[in-house]
Amino acid sequence: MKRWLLLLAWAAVLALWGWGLGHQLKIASDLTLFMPEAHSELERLLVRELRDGPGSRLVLIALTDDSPEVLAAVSHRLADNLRKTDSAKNPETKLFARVENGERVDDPALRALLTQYRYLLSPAVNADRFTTEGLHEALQERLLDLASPVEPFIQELLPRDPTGELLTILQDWRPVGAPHSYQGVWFSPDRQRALLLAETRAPGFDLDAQSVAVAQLQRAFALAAQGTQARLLATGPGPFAVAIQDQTRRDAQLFSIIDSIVLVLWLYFCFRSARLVLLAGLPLVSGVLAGMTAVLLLYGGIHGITLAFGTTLLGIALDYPVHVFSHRLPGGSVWQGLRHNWPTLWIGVLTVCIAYIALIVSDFSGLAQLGVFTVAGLLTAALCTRWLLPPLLPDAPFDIAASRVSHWQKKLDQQAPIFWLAPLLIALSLGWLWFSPHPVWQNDLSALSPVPRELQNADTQMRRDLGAADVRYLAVLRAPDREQALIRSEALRPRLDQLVETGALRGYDMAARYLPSHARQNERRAALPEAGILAPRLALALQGLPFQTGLFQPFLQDVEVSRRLPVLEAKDLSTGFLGTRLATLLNQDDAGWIALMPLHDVKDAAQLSAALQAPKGSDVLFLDLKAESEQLVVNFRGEMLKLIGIAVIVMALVMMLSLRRRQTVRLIVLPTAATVLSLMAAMNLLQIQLTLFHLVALMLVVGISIDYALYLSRDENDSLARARSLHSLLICCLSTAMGFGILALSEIPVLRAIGATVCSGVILGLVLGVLGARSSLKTGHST
Amino acid sequence: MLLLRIVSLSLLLTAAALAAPAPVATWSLEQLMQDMREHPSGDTAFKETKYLSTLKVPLVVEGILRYRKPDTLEKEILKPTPERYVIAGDSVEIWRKNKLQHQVSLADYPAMRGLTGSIIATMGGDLPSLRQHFEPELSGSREDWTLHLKPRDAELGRRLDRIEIRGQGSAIRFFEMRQRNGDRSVMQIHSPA
Repeated sequence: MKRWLLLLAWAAVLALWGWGLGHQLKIASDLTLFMPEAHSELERLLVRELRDGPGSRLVLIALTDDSPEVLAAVSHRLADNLRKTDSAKNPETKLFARVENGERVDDPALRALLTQYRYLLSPAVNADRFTTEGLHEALQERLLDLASPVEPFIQELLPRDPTGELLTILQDWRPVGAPHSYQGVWFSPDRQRALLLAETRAPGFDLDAQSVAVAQLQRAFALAAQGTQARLLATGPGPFAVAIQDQTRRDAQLFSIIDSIVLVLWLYFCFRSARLVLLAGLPLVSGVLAGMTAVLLLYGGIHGITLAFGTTLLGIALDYPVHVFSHRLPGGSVWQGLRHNWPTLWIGVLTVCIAYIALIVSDFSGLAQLGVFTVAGLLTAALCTRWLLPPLLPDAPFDIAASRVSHWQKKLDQQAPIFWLAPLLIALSLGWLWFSPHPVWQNDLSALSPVPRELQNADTQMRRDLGAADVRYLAVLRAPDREQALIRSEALRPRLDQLVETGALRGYDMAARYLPSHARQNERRAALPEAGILAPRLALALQGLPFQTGLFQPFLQDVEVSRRLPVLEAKDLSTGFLGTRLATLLNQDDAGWIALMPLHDVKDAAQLSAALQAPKGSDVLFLDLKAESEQLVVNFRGEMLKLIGIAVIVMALVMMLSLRRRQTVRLIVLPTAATVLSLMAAMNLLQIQLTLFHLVALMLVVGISIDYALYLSRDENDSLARARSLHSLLICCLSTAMGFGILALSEIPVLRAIGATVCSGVILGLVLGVLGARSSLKTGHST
Repeated sequence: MLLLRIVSLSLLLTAAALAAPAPVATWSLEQLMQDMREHPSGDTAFKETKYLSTLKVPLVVEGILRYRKPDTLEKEILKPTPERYVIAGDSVEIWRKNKLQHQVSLADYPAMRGLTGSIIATMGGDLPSLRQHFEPELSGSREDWTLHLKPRDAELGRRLDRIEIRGQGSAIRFFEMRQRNGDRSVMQIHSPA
């Protein structure tokens, strides 16, 4: 009767707890939590750019699978639909800041503003421009322009703008290498794909907003492509992140279900008791809930990835009830059996927790959450197994003598353990890893990306076709205020232009191109001569040229008006795509203003870096996002390895203190080391480069190997006792192997990495332990 | 007997000649476009005279036109000042002294489609492109044809009045563009000597 009460009480507590948590639960989806913490200025800028830089909002769209004419029409309709998108009829909540497909988007307000301010904005305006010689030269050029294909446009502007400032501005603003065009919209050079470019208002790291934008895109496309066979392909950081999230969620759900079914069946097969299977699940569920609570209390929210991985890692909590089930002594009470086995079990729990404490103190907040989750969960599961489980167990213990395992154990006892196996494997693995031609570690963040290779390749191709900036290289400037940032950027332009000339890069972008500093605008305004001086100079310059008399009266008037114009401010350019672009290139953080200058198509990074950073007093930072992020990974990994080293030492100390026998320690450390090193060597042999997630999985393998070795190295007096250990270990090992092996079937590299590593690790650990590190029976054989 | 045979044979031949259908002159816009596609013009010399409202005297330039499939036209000016314009797809590049002076996109300046849309589409035999911007009207024969183009969309038609292209066979010989404000551009094209 008491038993049932306890069971019901436990179940009720879990249910309430789960329900309460469900209400409090805030699942975060910010991907940058899974990046190491930034320390230096450079690292902070790096993380900032990866999250919210110029490239993170771009969505590249390709339309395929129909004739070019149909695709052009669909492109036109799609662009129209997207431009009209806004969720609440409010321009502030428009999903896409700009949509470009090659068609001219009429922005008369911007055109008018540019025309009005052309003498303050044009980089060609200086005093020389308005001398007689300068005017004569400009007019001769205009004459040539009239002979050219751009004549209609030139003619229209000629009376107002003979020096061609408007064209100069537009030329300066136009990115080099516009895409190929057909029927007025952008196409790939082979005309198989119609191309569009969209920029979301939401930053790249905000997954929820990106999901909404991608959904809107798909709806707009469905409308635009009705009746055609066209297909949509969207790439870019936002669509990729959304795809990753969807895939991760799908995989996590699928694999949890498969795992649960497989484990339930396996446990039933081993113990032939539905009740035991049910009881085995209770500590696990308690552990999961405890882990979630701990993370919520410490961090205020839990990350989706932490939840998925944490629940997976906690799968080993199933081992604890299994040990209790297998080790019940016949004829004795449950508590007696438990007291005998509990120390071994507890040391096993402690060692895994020590390994994961290394994660908690690391700089990586996503991994720290994972560490907290795992430690809290495992401790809770172990304590529940110790105190809450025994009263609920059925009276008759599982009879080990009747199973096949005792037979196997007797056979094993007749063989001496192979002591040289572990040291040999350690030596071989270390040798291989030292001399291996393949790199051991993976530094490239993009290798972790679950985005399929074809999609990544399509993205690269589309970027090339569209001339969309690759976001790898940036020059960064800091300044106390906006004006200073603009002035310093402008000072950089001559150097950058020269580098473009020499071919070190193809082009660059900066806020100062669109919004000159006040100082520069005032300079230009001062260069404009007053009417009394300009008119005679113009008359002189016109001599010998066939322009109609009086043609340039509007020019004289415009210059006079420009002399009195107030400077153009940032707020004047804050709407439309220009507003978004300016906000990306020049923005504020708590330390001041940051000016970003994306560098396109860099051919010689070293030269660029030297040219930008070397000059004395230069406050420009040259950022190579790829190299810096790899460096971040390397730094972090170094730190992690140090922490793991400390954790290993602590684990060894704990074991020595509690076991008090050097021999036992040797029996535990060697097979564990052999397991881990052989695993690393094997992966290197298969040319799999190790990532941070492999490291997390290896730490789990260490914990589990130690657990197995602890059981195998115990001195037991009789074969049946050893058989019980073997029995529990076989069940645990196979259940862990199956659970993680199923994960290894996932398409997502991270899940695959963890699954394959842990699955092979536990099997290898058990095999090595059984073969080489058992303690021998006291009767007869020598050790 | 022999006479009878000769007479009947000649009657038979005459009947046959009369019965065979005379080759119909299937000269049409589609036929012209196909001719242009099959015989791309390659390099030709031109002399262009522009009558512009902003100038007191007409502007005269001479040079070479180079057409490359499917939609690239290079206009190299030899007199009075060396210059090069390369119209490829949607972009127009202006080269002076071997330096790229300007690059503009036709998407931004539909007014320029007058020139590029008409002459390039005609040289390339691209009827769909031609029809997209113009209403074509063909007259004359294969040896001496005239193609009148009237702009279709309002944007283009605001400035452009009409275009007249004349040619012989698959070679374009004359190109005239009239703007609504009276401006005119007349180009005479002939094969290089």
